[in-house]
Amino acid sequence: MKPGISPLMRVENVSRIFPVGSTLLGGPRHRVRALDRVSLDLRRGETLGLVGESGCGKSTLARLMVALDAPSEGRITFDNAPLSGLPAGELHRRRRQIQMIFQDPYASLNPRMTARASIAEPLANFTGMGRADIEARIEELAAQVGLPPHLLDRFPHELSGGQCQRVGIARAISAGPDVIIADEPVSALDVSIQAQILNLLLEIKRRMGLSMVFVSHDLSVVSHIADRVAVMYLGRIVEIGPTAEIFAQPRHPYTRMLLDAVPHPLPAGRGRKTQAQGELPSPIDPPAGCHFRSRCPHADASLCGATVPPLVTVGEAEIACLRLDEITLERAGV
Amino acid sequence: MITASPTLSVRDLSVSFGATGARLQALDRVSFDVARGEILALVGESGCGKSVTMMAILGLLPERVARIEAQRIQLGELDLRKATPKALRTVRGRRIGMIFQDPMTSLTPVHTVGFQIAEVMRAHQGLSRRAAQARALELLDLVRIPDPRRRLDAYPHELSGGMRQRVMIAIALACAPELLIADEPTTALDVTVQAQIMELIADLRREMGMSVVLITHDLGVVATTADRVAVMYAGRIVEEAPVADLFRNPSHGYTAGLIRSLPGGETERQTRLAEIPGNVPRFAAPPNACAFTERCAFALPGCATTRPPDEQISQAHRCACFNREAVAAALRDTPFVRAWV
Repeated sequence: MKPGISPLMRVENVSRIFPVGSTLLGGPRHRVRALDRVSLDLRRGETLGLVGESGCGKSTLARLMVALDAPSEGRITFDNAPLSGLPAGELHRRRRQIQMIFQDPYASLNPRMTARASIAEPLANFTGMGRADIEARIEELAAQVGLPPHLLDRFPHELSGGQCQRVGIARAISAGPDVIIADEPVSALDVSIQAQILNLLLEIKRRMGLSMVFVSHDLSVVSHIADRVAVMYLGRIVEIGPTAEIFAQPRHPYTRMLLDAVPHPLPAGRGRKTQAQGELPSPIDPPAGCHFRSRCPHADASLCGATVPPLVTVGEAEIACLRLDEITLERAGV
Repeated sequence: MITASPTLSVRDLSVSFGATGARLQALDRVSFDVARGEILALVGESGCGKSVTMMAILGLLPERVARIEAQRIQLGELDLRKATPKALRTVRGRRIGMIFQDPMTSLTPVHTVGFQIAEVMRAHQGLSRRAAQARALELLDLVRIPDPRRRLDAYPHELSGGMRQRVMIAIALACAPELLIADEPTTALDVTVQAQIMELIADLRREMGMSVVLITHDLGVVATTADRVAVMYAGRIVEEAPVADLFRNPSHGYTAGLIRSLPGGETERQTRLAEIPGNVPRFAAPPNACAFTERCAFALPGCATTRPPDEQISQAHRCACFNREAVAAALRDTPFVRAWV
């Protein structure tokens, strides 16, 4: 971390453990570590991308960061104050500062409320504005998110996916948050609509000086929008660093496999054999040591099975791989 | 257009829905061929008619509400327009294999995967239980499922998404069909698994010499896997060409819009992407217009009043756009197009 400026949000050694199944006595049969001692900072004004395959913990982390869920271990702070264990009033105030945008724009809106009523809700809830002020503010927000005013009185089913997502964004920014946590905000949208919503997110982030966490499985979207990227695998961060650096020079074998698997619309991709091997192991019983070693072409059973690799700083990035030096040398052809 | 007798040939296929009164035109004179051993990608957004096209060919649209008209729907020597429901049942599964987006809902949860693969061959080929089981084992091996003998007795919920999609492919290939229809086969899967499944489909096409229609919205999947691509918008094919020709010389305003709006490509990080304005149309095009006019950066006055005819740009490349030269010229110097030249 750069000295001098403290991060806006800080995730320290956070784990989230879910019980799975039940025994005869009613206790949990298994425990899944959806997050396993994750630490990261959200810097002021940055967009942090969280990427990884299903089950890697990216959405769990997003939910913890909006205080929709609490860590089992570790702590999350916002502006140096803890986010969990807050009294109700305090939590309410925090909620105003940290807002979320969801994946499914239809499902995340109340089907029985018009766009206008949906946007009015957080305003009434958080700002204490009068009725007339709220009305004026709704029109203003609609303009900001590019929603034509005549659509304000429609219900979600009368709107397109892109328009619903604009309503969702208007709700999220309505009370003037400091942080937006966006969980796959464009994944459910048609390709011709994705660019519209990405442009809108870039614009409001810049105009409002927001910090943003952007969760996505789509690496090309993340490479476009994020300043820094955290690559997750089975509940742990395996690599984190500046977007340009991670995409130009991925160092962790998993990051490389992931980037390699993305089908690019370029001639170089034709007929190429993928390096991707196998599938995610069960999160109930992940491999000991480095979780990725069962799919890793460089794994050394005695070394990688014995220790959980710590994040090590290389340049501006941090990588959790015990064989990083050997792999780097190997790739350099030494 | 390929002349050596294609596996599938469709001419002027139109589909409309609605019992009485106002009918909704879902497909408007769609024509394409799939050559033997070829992968044709149908690209477009939700509601553009890619799935309806395939349902119409397979005879899966409810007769009560769907009106299907076509000059030709020909599978090899068989005229599918005239096929009886019974004949179509034989075609589906035996001559045309199908895989869908969500492998979980396409498999029944109450039978083992071995049973479900064997069932197809017992129904279509009259194999004995024992022979079908033996063949099912071979098929699981063919789709590269590790430890296939043990997997025969597994239920779908015991398999990962990628494994289930491999099982779906095994079922689709059980009767060695001449055509495989893959409707968004990797949309529900993670990217590393997607890469493996697409590679499997491409390999099997080569090994078995079958044709594939790949329905997708992902230009990356098209570029890495398909031989030819047909771009659909609002119930029509607006541009069709071999993949390299299309990306080298994109000529329809919609194709150009899709290419220019791709993130992670030529647009500098965190700057505005060239977006396609407006919304995806819910209904098909008005008959006398290009459906994309309102959203098109290249629209001419005539686009709203006349339907652009299909024109051949080269022998294998056709496009229905009045302003195709301007479209191609505008994209010529983009890094995307230059990468393909």
